[in-house]
Amino acid sequence: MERYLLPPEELSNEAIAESLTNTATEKIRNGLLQKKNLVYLELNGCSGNIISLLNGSNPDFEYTLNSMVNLRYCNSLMGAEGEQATEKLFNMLDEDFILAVEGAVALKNNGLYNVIGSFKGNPLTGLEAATMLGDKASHIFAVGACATHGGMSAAKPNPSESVGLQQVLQDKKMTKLPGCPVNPGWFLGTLAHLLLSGEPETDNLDRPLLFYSTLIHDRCPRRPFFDRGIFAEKLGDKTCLFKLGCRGPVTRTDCPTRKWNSGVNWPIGDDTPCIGCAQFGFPDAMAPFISFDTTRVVKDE
Amino acid sequence: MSKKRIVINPLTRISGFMEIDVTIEHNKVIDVKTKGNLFRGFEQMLVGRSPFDSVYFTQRICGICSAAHSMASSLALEDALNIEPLEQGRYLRDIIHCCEFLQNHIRHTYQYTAPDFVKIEQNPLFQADHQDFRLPKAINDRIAKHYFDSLPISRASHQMLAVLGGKAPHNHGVFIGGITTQATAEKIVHLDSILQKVTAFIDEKLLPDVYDIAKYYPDYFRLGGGYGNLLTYGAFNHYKELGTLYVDPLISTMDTIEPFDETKITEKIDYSWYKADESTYQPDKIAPEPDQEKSKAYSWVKAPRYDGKPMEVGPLARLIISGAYHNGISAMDRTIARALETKKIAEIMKLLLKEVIPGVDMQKKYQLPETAAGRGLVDTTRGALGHWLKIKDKKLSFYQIITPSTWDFSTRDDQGYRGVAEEALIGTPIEDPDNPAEVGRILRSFDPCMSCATHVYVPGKQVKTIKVF
Amino acid sequence: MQTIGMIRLQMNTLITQARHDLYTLRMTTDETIKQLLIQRLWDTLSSIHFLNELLANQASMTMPMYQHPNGLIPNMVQTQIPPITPTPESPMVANAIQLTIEELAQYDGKNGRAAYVAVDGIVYDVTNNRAWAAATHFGLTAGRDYTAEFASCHAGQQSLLATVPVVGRLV
Repeated sequence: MERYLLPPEELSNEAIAESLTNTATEKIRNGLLQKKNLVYLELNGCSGNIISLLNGSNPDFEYTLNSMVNLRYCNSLMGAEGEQATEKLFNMLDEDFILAVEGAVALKNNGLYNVIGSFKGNPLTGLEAATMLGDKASHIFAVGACATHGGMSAAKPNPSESVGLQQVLQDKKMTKLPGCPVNPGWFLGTLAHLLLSGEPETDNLDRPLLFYSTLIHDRCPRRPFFDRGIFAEKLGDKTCLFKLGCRGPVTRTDCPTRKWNSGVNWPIGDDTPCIGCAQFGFPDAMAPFISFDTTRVVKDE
Repeated sequence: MSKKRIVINPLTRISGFMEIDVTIEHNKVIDVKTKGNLFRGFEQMLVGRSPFDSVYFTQRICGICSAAHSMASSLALEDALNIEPLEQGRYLRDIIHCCEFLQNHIRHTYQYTAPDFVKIEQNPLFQADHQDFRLPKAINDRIAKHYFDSLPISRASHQMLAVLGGKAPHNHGVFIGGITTQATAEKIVHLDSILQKVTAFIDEKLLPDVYDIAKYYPDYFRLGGGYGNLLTYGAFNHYKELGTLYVDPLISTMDTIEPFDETKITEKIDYSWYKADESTYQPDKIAPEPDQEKSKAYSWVKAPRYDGKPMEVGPLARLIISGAYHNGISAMDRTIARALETKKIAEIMKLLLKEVIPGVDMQKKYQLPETAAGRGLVDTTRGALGHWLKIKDKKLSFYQIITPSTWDFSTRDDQGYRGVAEEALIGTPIEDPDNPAEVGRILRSFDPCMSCATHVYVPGKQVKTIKVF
Repeated sequence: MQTIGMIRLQMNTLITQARHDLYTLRMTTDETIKQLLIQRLWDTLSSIHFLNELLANQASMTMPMYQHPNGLIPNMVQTQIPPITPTPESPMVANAIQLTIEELAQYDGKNGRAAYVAVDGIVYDVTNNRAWAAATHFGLTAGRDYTAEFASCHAGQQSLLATVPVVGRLV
């Protein structure tokens, strides 16, 4: 077979994710892959991750729905309501499905601080749903900061005693996609990888290396300012935002290149510090988000 | 015929978790309780944090209307720090707020409301439980197609938000003084170009679709009325040169419209699981303790009142108060008002964009006072939103939030008033008690955001009841 | 000033090498290698001693006495480029700064004060350390002794400290 010389493929994380998705959907179309069932469970959180997923492009949400997964349960979007909705959730236990969870698991009072529905007259707690479905799922995604480690829901003093999904499914392997919210590309790209060639390679904290391998700081367009010690004094400045509290040096994501909302902007591009929303420990470990009184230059003795 | 109880849990296609407990007699609703089903306790979490962090922190209350909380907390901080934003700062901040309205209203109309009235057969996920679908096939299929056409439009609205705000949801742009970055000619044109597409969608699809739904479900003009007391904190108003583009802070009760007076806001906890020295208090005075022992209480949502009365807030309230809508107050009027307001907001955004001067830096190095207090009151997508904060030793020492959905989904009170949404359901005829389409349709007309309404929880006693609502 | 920086860098390299040698010494069972390592440690120690004297001379010639924090004038205007990589400008071992835990607390990295933290009795300058944005690090604030925290979060990562400028000792 004749081989054509092709121009070199783009190797940015975005390009890889896009080509993964395209390959996955092509394979589905050609019958190489089966569309898989997806259960999207919203627990103790703000439902911001599902909104972020609706913001996805390449693949967009429509495409995901039509070509990649059969979305079988999603509180924010499904037509059914009440017990009929909850029944759909229970029916999944007899089938093969991928489980995606956003929001933390509230432990207080046996999980009754987060009731996600009722079944046969009894309240169904987020805790029950997470353990029940997590036990049966073929793959589990913890989507967003609340699901990966408790996130906002677990911020001090953690009134609902919220924890990350892993804590209630200790023996289960899961892929963790931190972020507040998750970037749609991180979720859909990981999903595509799973459909195409199994679970993606992850680091020791279960984050896909594809998206979470590199410190923001190491690819920050404002890095030269840091290296020269030229620091922003206030928001809106165009230099390094380190002294205002930038958590780019401790946060691993591809934000500098992928950016947000189809790549139009990102927090540092908006002249504000990264607040480390994709770092484990967010928000408490990443606070304060913005400080104006950090020492910029120590008067030389 | 005896009484029958209907419980809907979860009420899907809303933000957050809600349970409805309805009692019907002779197929009419005679009693109703609306209950939020998740608790996180943001007000408690905020105490002790840096005041500046509240802008990004409070946004995480809600995934679909996060920019609203950044608006209210920025306004509260400006009040506390005595900062008056530049007019350019207000324009840009309000443009971000416009983007949030567009995103929220379009998503609510198509993703949350439409499946109640339109058979969406493209995907089994959207299959409803009831059979009350009345649209002719051609219209039904057109709107079902628009369900999917709307996705790139609401996405583009969030994209506009990110152009000025860094990212969405949970933007970085709205802050004290306006927005963090400066406008550039490129950004203005970027926004204007997207806005053109969004506006075309509103004119060509959103408005005709909503009117078609209204035409075939005319009974919903008579359902879901409620008290008829309306409130707005004002939106896109009091610009120095532009004046008021939408609505000023006003109250409407029994055919009279009067200026809004914030000292008349109280919160009541007679039927909510809280205790305090007084069961009626002003929002900046008391943060009540929880009390699950209270026998008559049934909800974690408190009951805000204005001059003792429950008030409806949201797009319909704003349109009526501003004099732009006269048809009436009902579930269908709310849905139409939301669509009309989407159009209005797009026009306001276009106007504001024309006023933006590129390159204006509105940010300063802010200093914190040792002690201060402030409040930020603003009308957002779902209605009147208020943040009240206090600073002590340069840290937050008090934070109180009353969200629009707390107004609309409040509990009853000591004066015998029900919450607004509860009252709206009273008397509703239920055709098929096993598959009650009416309840969900009426409640969704308010665009409930339970992530917002039940963010409040103060830790205290161990809860021992089985059901937590 | 430049010389002092150079000496510090050399010292740090030697200290890192010594740490590594000690580690290997503990692990290895090969007698020959042990002998070699001990020999090299002796050499390293001599070098450090020499550099230490040199540093003391330089410091007494070029630097005024160490000032207390209340003597520091906050400098908000960006007049010069502050150092990022560890090129210390603080007086070293010979006239080593000795800080009590109360004195350390004043170096909170705010309003012109440097950001110092202590680990195992050594005080480090993290003012411009990239993991210490806004003088905070994963919920920890500057101006405190973090021996226990370092041991629990960075066990086996002593080398991390080699890149952080040392300013003195905690007494």
